[in-house]
Amino acid sequence: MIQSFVAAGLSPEVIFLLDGIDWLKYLVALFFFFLGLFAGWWQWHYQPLLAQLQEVPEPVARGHSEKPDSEGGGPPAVGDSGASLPAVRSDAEAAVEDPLAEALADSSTPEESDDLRLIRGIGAALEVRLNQQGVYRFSQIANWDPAEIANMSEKLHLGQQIERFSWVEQAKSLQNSD
Amino acid sequence: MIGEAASYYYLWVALRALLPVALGAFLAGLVLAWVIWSLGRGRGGK
Repeated sequence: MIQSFVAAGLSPEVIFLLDGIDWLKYLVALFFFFLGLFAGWWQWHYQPLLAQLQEVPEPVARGHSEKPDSEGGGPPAVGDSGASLPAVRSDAEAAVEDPLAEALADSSTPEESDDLRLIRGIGAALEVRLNQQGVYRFSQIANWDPAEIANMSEKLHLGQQIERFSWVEQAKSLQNSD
Repeated sequence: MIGEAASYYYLWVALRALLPVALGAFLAGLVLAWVIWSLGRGRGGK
């Protein structure tokens, strides 16, 4: 190592300094430092972002989703020749099954509404789902009590996100700044 | 056989010397990541 430093034309003082470094330890430390940096970024930045992006409203359960089988082996209905015909659904049923259509139907913005995305931890998808629950204003979130927080967390599958991002405090300060 | 055992021993010695360094550096990186994240959070980032 020293020979290569001398060959590189470095001054004796610099060679002395470089020779004092335990290169293996230095490189290992550098590697693990960046590994730690990456792990932190993953844990605190990327994963919550990913979790928020992956939040999808769960499909609405249909009351009569299962087509009744031929009861008692009775005679087949007229036109039922055994070929599997595509099930014809009414528009209302289709709307209930389609989460997007449901979201559009339910999230009709009232006259007075706030931009809930100003609250840290709420994105576009979550805002729609909050609107589906009838939450449009900062004042509504600001008035949530622990029971209501638990209720919303369960309904929207948020885990501890409301407490972690202090939605209520954020909503209060946003409400006051309006 | 004996030489092989000795090489494992030296590997263990090297690992034992590097483990605290690796752990310390990893924790330092983790703390720095947290500091950056919390500062960004304080500035209103999501």
